Amino acid sequence: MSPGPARFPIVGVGAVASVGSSAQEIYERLCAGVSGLAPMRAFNQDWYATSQLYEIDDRGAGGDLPGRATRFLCDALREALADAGLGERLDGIPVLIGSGLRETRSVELWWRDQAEFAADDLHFGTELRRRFGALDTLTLSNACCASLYTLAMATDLLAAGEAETVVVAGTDSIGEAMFAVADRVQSIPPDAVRPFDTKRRGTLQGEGAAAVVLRREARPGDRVHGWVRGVGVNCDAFHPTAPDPTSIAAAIRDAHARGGVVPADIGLMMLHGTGTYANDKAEAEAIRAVFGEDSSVPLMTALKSTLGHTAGAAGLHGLVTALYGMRDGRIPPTPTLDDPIDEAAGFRIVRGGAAPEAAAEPVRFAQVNAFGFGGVNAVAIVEAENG
Amino acid sequence: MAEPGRRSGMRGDPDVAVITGVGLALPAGVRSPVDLIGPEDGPAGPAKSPANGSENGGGAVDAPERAERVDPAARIGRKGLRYKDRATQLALVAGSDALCDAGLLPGGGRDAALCDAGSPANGGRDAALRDAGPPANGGPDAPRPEGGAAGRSSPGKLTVPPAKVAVVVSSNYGNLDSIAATVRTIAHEGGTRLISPMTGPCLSSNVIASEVAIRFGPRGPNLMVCNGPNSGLDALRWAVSLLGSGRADQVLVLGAEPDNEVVRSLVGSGDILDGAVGLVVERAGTAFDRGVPARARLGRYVRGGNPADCVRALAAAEPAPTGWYVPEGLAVPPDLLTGVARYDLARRWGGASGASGVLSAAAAVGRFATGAGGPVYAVTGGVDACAGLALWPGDG
Repeated sequence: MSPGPARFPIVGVGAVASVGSSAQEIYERLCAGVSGLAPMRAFNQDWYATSQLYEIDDRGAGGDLPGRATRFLCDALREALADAGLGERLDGIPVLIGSGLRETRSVELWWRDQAEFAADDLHFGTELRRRFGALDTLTLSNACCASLYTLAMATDLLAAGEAETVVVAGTDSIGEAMFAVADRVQSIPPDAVRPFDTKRRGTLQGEGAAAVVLRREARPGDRVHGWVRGVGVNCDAFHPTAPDPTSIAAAIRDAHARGGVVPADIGLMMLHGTGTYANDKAEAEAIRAVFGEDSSVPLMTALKSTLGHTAGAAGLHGLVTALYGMRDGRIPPTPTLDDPIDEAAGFRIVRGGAAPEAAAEPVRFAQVNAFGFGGVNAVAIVEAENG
Repeated sequence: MAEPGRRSGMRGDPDVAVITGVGLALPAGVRSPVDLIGPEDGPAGPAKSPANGSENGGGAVDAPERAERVDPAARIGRKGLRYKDRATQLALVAGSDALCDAGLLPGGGRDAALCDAGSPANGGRDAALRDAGPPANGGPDAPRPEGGAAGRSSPGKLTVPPAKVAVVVSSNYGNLDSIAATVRTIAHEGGTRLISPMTGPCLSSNVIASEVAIRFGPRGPNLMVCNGPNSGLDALRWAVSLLGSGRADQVLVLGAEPDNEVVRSLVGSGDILDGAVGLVVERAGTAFDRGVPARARLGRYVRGGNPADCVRALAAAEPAPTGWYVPEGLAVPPDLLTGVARYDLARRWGGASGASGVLSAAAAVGRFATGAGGPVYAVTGGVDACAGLALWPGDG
């Protein structure tokens, strides 16, 4: 048992998104700079100025369907459970799911189009009992950082000895009300998500799910993808949409303290990078406040440039990609970043078109950032699996 | 029956979780947990009976209780309520009262001056436009709140360090009205012309939890639990977890649900709660240090497939209860906990959904205040699972 702060092995991963239907496939596509941006499929183009989203293409010509966030979740869970060598019976294993919108897209379709929907399906526990026999599930609606918040709660359960295995997931499908308000206020629709670019014009929604299986201790036969060292969470208590760099910096410091790392240890940072004016500026300021001169040490990348803003799933999308990146030494690029903002001067954001960047030396620690509407912040520190 | 582990002062376990404050935003002007004490049902279990009056120890209160709805402006002032959905407003009322009750806010909960102190620094909601991209009048120079913490109003409004105060809100239906209205309006208009940008924050499911934080200032973990019928008891479970992990020293737990057309249609009933319940939860040692009494102690929390399994799991860890709060809307075997008083809060308050478990805990505080012994069990449940929690009197 290695000395130092507690760390929890990740023994299974799964993911779905616009660019792929498995964690490995998504990683390969991201390394190739493939983007899920496409003309939007489910919303009426006559009603909106925005015309592109990062959707999963799972609907035929018949319009939208309810229950997609739940389906994405089940797909990612099945992959993660199989990867972990667990069967599909989850009684006794807590499942903590972070989601920004849960099944409120289904509520939209029910209210407006008389789609079939029941109150019991608003939260994911109903389907998880049906499908996996799960009895201890949590649907946590913590906006764009929800899946890292659930990761934090999972580490607390494991540290307290209240569980030996916890499944953590995040899922979201694109909601029309949220999309409509963004469309309403963006005078020019963004042509893509351009994190940290001087010409960024706002974010565009994506969708998908990700899941990881955490243990308190690795068991013989477990394939360890990496280790969760710690997750810092807090809340700005400041403004419904504008982020607070001071509070974000505090969350980063909390994560470092829990993870037993200092800024110079971080070799890879998965940026939240929504491509909004406020987030990217605040995130860059917060990083510089904490890292100082070490701001230019880690490689950085922003997956929303290719996946869109996957909201509740975004934190774990970043974490799973970081695990693969540390394993392979290839970091997916941020292909839509042409002209970095001044606040990011010196940041090693992976660009260069579609080519992934090979890390000059092995990355031992990665930091994953996720900041949500309402000022909720979560930062995770993960450690690479050696050998 | 002797209560194992009963403590007074610090002779007991300082790490056990206790309730130190209660706030109620409920119809019919109910403000005190003692007023939540209701009638006991017979062994046949709860049945939704028409409003024909019910006896209870707290004085005659006519059902239906929905007659006199909460007026948030009357409770905490109008400022800061504009553009906020019903569930958020109710939660702010209950949160204010709970925090004041626990001594975490100065002054009384109905203090108008307190309301001013709770408003966000930037005042106007135009700032909601900012994060969607550069405004028409220019990006970097657009007006925005004073940078970060420097712009906060009344930074000292909490009487304890804000970074260690957490918020856990439970609500299933809180913002459905905002979402539903938005999509219907767009479809009717054929566009977003009538959509106000001010509604943006209401469309995120965690609007209640974030608005509670913005008003009162807690900067610790902020959780929005939307977990079906068990959500309220789960909120208490996660509050205890936050205390145990050291992420928080106090947790404001809120359950809030609105009564509106969308919810009635989804639930299939008009017999639903329009209200919120707030509790402050902290470690017994912290309460002792702050000189505030514990109103109840939280015991074992369990999960199970049905009410009987939950009761069994609780009874394996705790003594038999003196009474128990039965799950709303779920059939309970008549022979479960035979002879133990059953409390069915839904008879009086309607279906409370995400607020149910929190309401049960507040009612338990009321019972303990009248000298009732413990433990009591609170059980909730739905088609996904059941949850159970044991509660004990505090040392108050």
